Amino acid sequence: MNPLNVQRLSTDLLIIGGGTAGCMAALFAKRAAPSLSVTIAEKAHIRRSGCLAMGLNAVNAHLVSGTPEDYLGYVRHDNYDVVRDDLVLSIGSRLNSMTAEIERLGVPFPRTPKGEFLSRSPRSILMHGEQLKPLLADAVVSSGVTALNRSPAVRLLHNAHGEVCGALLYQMRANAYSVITARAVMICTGGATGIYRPSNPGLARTKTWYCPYNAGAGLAMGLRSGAEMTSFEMRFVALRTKDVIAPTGTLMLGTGMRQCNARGADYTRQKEDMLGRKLTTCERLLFTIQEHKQGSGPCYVDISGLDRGGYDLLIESYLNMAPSIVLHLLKDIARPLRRVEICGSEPCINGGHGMAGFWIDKDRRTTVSGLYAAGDAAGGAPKKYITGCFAEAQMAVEHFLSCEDAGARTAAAADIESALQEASLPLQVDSSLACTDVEERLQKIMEEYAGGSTQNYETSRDKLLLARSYLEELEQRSRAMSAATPHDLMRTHDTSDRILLARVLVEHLLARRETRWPCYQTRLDYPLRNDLEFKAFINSRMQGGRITVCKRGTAPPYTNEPLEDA
Amino acid sequence: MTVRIDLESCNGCGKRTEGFCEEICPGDLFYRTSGKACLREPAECWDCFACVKACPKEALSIELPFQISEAHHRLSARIRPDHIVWKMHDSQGRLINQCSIPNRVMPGGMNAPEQALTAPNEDTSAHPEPAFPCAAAYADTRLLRLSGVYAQRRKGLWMQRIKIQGGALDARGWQTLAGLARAHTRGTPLLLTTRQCIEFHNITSERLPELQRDLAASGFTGLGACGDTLRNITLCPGNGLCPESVDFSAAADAVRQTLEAFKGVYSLPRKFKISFSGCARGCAQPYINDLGFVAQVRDAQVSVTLIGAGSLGARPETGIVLAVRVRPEDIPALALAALRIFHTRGNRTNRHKARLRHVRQELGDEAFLALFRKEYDSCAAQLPPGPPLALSASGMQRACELNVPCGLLDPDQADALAETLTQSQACARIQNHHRISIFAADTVAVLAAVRTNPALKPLLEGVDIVSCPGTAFCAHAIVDTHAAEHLLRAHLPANFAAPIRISGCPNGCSHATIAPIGLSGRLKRGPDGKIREGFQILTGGRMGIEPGCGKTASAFVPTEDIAAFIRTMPARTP
Ligand SMILES: Cc1cc2nc3c(=O)[nH]c(=O)nc-3n(C[C@H](O)[C@H](O)[C@H](O)COP(=O)(O)OP(=O)(O)OC[C@H]3O[C@@H](n4cnc5c(N)ncnc54)[C@H](O)[C@@H]3O)c2cc1C
Ligand code: HEM
Ligand code: SF4
Ligand code: SF4
Ligand code: SF4
Repeated sequence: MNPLNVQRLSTDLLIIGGGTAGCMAALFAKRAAPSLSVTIAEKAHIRRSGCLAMGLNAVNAHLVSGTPEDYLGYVRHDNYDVVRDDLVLSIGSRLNSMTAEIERLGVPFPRTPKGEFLSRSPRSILMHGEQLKPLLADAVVSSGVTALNRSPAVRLLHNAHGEVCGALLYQMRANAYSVITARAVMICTGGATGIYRPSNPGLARTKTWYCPYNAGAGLAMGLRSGAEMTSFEMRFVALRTKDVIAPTGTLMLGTGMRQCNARGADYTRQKEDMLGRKLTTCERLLFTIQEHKQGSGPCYVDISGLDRGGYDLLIESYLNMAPSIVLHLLKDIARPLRRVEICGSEPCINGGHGMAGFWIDKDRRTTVSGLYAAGDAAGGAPKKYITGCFAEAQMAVEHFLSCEDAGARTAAAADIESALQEASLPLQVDSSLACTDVEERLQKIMEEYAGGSTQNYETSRDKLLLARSYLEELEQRSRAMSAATPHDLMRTHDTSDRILLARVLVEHLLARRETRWPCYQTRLDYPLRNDLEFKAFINSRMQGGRITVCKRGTAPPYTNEPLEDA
Repeated sequence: MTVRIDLESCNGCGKRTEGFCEEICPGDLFYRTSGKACLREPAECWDCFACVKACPKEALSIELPFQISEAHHRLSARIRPDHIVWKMHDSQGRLINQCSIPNRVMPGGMNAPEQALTAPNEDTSAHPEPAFPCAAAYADTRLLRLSGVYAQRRKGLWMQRIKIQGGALDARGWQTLAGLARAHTRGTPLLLTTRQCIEFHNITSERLPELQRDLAASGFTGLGACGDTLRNITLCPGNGLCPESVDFSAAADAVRQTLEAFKGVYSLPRKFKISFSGCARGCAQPYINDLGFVAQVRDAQVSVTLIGAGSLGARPETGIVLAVRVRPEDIPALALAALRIFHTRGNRTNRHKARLRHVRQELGDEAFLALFRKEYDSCAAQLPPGPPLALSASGMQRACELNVPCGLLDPDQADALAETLTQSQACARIQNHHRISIFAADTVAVLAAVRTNPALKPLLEGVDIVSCPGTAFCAHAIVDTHAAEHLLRAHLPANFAAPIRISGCPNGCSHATIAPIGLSGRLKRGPDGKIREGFQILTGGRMGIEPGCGKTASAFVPTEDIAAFIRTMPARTP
C-alpha cells in the first residue's frame, strides 16, 4: 500500500499521545460531555505506552500534609525560584483529587491499619500501580473514546489563519498517512529522551531512565508550528541506580536508608549539616558527582540496615515500577545486594520532573491558537508527576469545554500538502543512511559538547557553539535518511524530531549565562547563579526556520526581554 | 538479548491479527514470522515488561543484558485477575523466587448501589423431589442423571453416585455403604471420585430402586450428583480440622440449602460446581470450580475470597476473583447470584459452551462482574444472612493418608476404616485425588492402628495416581485406565514423586491435562493393522491453586510401554 493514500478523519477533540495525561484528558472530556467525539492518536498502544508502561509504585505528588501553597514553596525552593507559580499552584490544589481518580480506576493502595495511605515523604504515597495504565486504558475505551493505536502524529495542520486544526498521522499497521481535523488539539506526548548518549552500551543502550519511545514529537511539532517553548536548558537528570537505571527514591524514601561514598561516609548528611537545610534534588546528584571528582567514588545507597520485611517491600516496590533491577539486587539469591551503586541518568527534556516544555497559560493553552499542552510536554511546572499530569489534563479539558463550539476547522490544502511532503521524505530518498546512525551522531555531539553524563553534565560557550554548527550540518545530512519499513519510518520521524529539539536545547544552554540548576544546567564558564540577570525563563520559538530565544520574567505578565547574542 | 522468547511455548497467538506482544510493545519491537514471535531490534528494548505481562503463554522473560551485569537469572510474570505473580528462574530454568503483588481492586464487600438487572427466576420445568426421584423413570435419562445414575458400559448395569458433602463420612457411614455394596452389588468396590462423591457400580436394573431406597433410608442422596445442576459441594479435606483453617461446613450447608431452594437449580444449562478451601493453600481447587471460596487466616483474622467462573473440561480455564473480603453472612447470596446469572445467561444450545465461564467469556470480565454485583444486591435483599464462620478448633491433625488405587475401596476396607475411626476417635475425609485423609488428636495411635490393620496397611504407600473409570465402567472410554494404573503401580519406584493422572478418553475426567504427568487414552492402528490401546503423554501441567496445561511428551505410547516411558521421563524433560 502506498502510505500517501491519505485517509480523512475528523473529531471534536484530538489528543496526541495516549499516555498519562492524554488518556486522562480523554476520559475527563468524555465524562463531562458524553456526546463529544474524542480521539486519541497514540504512537504505541494506550494499554502500555509512555512513562507508565512499566507501572509505578508511588504517587509522587500527593499532599499528605500541607497546603497547595506549601507545595509551591517546596517546588520553588527545589528549583531555585524560577518556576511558574500560577501553574504550580493550580496543580497543587488538584493533586489529592487526582489520587482519588487513580483509586477510582481500581488501583490498590497499601494503607496503614488506620486506613491512611502509606506515605514515603510529605508528598509521596505508595501504590501498587503495576496496572495503572491498563486500568486507565480500559476506562478510556469503555467511555467511548476513539483510540487510534500505532498512529504517531507527525505534523500539526493549520487553517488559513494559521490556527491549529488537526494533525497528520502515520497509521503504522495500515502503512498509510491520514489527515484528522479537530476543533482543538491537545499535545500529551510527554518529554524527550534519546538526545544524549545513553549510559549503557550495546544491547543495554535503550536502558534509559525516561521512556525511550518518547522522542518529543509533540514539542517538535509545536516548534514547527511556531509555539513558544520554555526552559529546555533545564534538562532533567535523574539520580539512579547504576547500569540498571532504576529509581533511587524507592531505596531511600521512607526506609531511612542513605547515600554514602566509597568509604561509607554519608556525604549528603554532611552537606545538609553544612548548609543547614535539606538538599535540593539536583544537589543530591551534584554532590554525588563531587565525591567522584574528589576520588571518593563510587557512591552507593547503603541498604544493609533493611530487615527481611523491609527488603521484601523493596523488591515488591521495584517489581511495581522497575522490575529488572530485581535481577540485579538478587543476582546472588542467597546474598541479596546490600550496597547499590548510584549515578546520574542520561539528560532528558521533560516537564514532569523538570520544567522544559510548551509555554502555556493557566488553561494549558499554548501560544498557538487551537493548541493545548498537558503533562510532561507542558513546561513551567516541575515536579508535577502523574497527579500533576492528570490535573493539567483536567484543566485543559475544562477550558476546551467552556469554549463555544465553532465547529471543526478545515485544514488548508497547501498546509496538508507541505506536511505530507516533509513527512514522506524518508520514503522518497534512495540512500543507505539509517536513522540509527544519525541518532548516534546526534548523541555523540550532544554528549561531548552539550554536557552529557560523561562530561559530568557540564558545558561551556565554545563547546556549545561547536555543537550548534555540527547540529546544523547533521540536520542537513539527515534529510537523506531513508525508511524501508513502517517501523523505520516511525524511527526516522523520531530522529528528525530529536535533532530539532537538540538544536533548540543548545540555543537555550547558550542563552543562560549562569549556572542555575547544577547538573541540570551547568555552565563552566559561568559557574555561579546570577539572580540579577537570570532569575527568568529562557524561552524560544521558531520563526521562518530560525530559532529565536528570549527571556521572560518570573511574575505576570512575564514580560519578554530580548537577549543579547551569545 | 534481554527479552527471551521461548519458541516452544509461543504459539504466535494463533489467529490473532497481531500477537499480544506485538500489539503491546511501546517500542514496536515485535513481529511474527513462521507463527512465532520475533524481536526486531533487541537493543531498542526498554525492559518495560509489557510484553512479558501480555503473553498468555508465558513465553517471554527478561534477563539483564551482559553488557551491564553478570546476573543470569530471568524474570517473568503472569497477570492474574487481581494480582501479578512474578517468577525468577535461574539459568538452568529452575524457579528460584516467586512473589505475588496485588494490582487491581476487585469488587469487595459487594455493596454496589446499583439495582438488580434480572427479575427473580421462576422455573416451570420438572423439579425432582428429593432424594431419589427416578425409580419410576428409567427412560428419562435427564432425571436419571440428576439423581446420580449413569448407564455403565455394559448394557443393563448402572452406576449410582451419591454426594458426600466435603467428603466427610463417619464410621457409621462407611459401614453402611460397605453393607449396601455387599447387599446390592455383590461386593463391587466403592469408587471414590475426585469431587468427594462415592459411586456404586454394577447395579442391575432390579436392584437400583432397592439400593436407592436403602440409601435414602440411611440419609444419603444422589440428587444432584450428576446432571446439569448444582453438584456435590466440595470442601478441602482438612476443613475444620487442619489447624489455622476455617470451618466452612455450616456455610456449605447454607449455600446448598439456598441454591437447592432456587427453582431453576435442576434445569441449569450445565453443571455447577462449588468448592470451599479452609486456608490459602486452596486444596479444594478454587480456580477450576464455578465458584471457589477460599479463606485466608492471618493472625486469627479470617478473610474470604470468592473466585469463580473457572472450570476444567478439555481446555482448563481458571477462574477470576469475583469478590474479596467476603463477609460470612454474604456467602449464600453470592452463590445464589452466580447461580441465577448462570441460569438466565448460560448457553443452552451448545453444551461445549455452556458453563458459567462461557457466560463470563461472552460478557467480558468487567460486564460479568458488574452483572454479578447487581444480582448479588437483589439476592442479598431476599435472603437471610448466612451463618458465621469459625476457626477450626478440632485439636486434630492429619495422621495419614490412604492411597486408594483406582479410587476403588473394597467393602472390607471400608469396614476396616470404620473400625479404625471408631477405635481411635478419628475423622476421615475423602480427598480429591483418590485418597482418604485421616485426622485425629492422637496421630501416633491412629497410624499404629492403620499399620496393624491388614486391610488398610497396603494403602499407606503408593505413587500418586488417579485414573478415571475408563473401560471398566464408563461408556465413553476408549482404553482401560485401571490396567494402566496397575501397571504403573507395579513398575514405578515407590518414591516416584510426580503425580500422574490417567484419563480414558479426551473428556479428561481425571484432570490429565493439568497433571505434572498426564495420560490421555488414545487408540492407534499398528503396522499389523490391529488397533492398540495407549496414551498420549503430557508433562508439565500444574494442578495447584493456579492450574496450567501440560505439553505433549509423546503423542502415543502403547499401554504396555508406559511404565518404561514414564520412568525415563524426568531425564527426558528438561
Ligand atoms: C521511569 C519513570 C518512573 C516514574 N515514576 C513515577 C512515580 O513513581 N510516581 C509519579 O507520580 N510519577 C512518576 N514518573 C513521572 C510520570 O510518570 C510522568 O510525569 C508522567 O507519566 C508523564 O505523563 P505524560 O502523559 O506527559 O507522558 P507519557 O505518559 O509518557 O505519555 C506520552 C504518550 O505520547 C505518546 N507519543 C509519543 N510520541 C507520539 C506521537 N508522535 N504521536 C502520538 N503519540 C505519541 C507516547 O507513546 C505516550 O503514550 C515516572 C516517570 C518515569 C519515566
Ligand atoms: C458415563 C461416562 C462417564 C463417567 C463414568 C464419568 C466419570 C467421571 C468421574 C468419576 C469424575 C470425577 C468425579 C466427580 O466429578 O464427582 C468425572 C469428572 C469429570 N468428567 Fe466425567 N464421566 C463420564 C462422562 C463424561 C463426559 C461425557 C464428559 C464430557 C462431556 C465428562 C467430563 C468430565 C470432566 C471435565 C470431569 C472433571 C470434573 C471437574 O471439573 O473437576 N465426563 N467423570
Ligand atoms: S504474546 Fe506470547 S504467544 Fe503470543 S506471539 Fe507473543 S510470545 Fe508468542
Ligand atoms: S520489554 Fe517492553 S520494550 Fe522490551 S520488547 Fe517487551 S514490550 Fe517491548
Ligand atoms: S491446608 Fe488444605 S486441607 Fe487443610 S484446611 Fe487448608 S486448604 Fe484445607
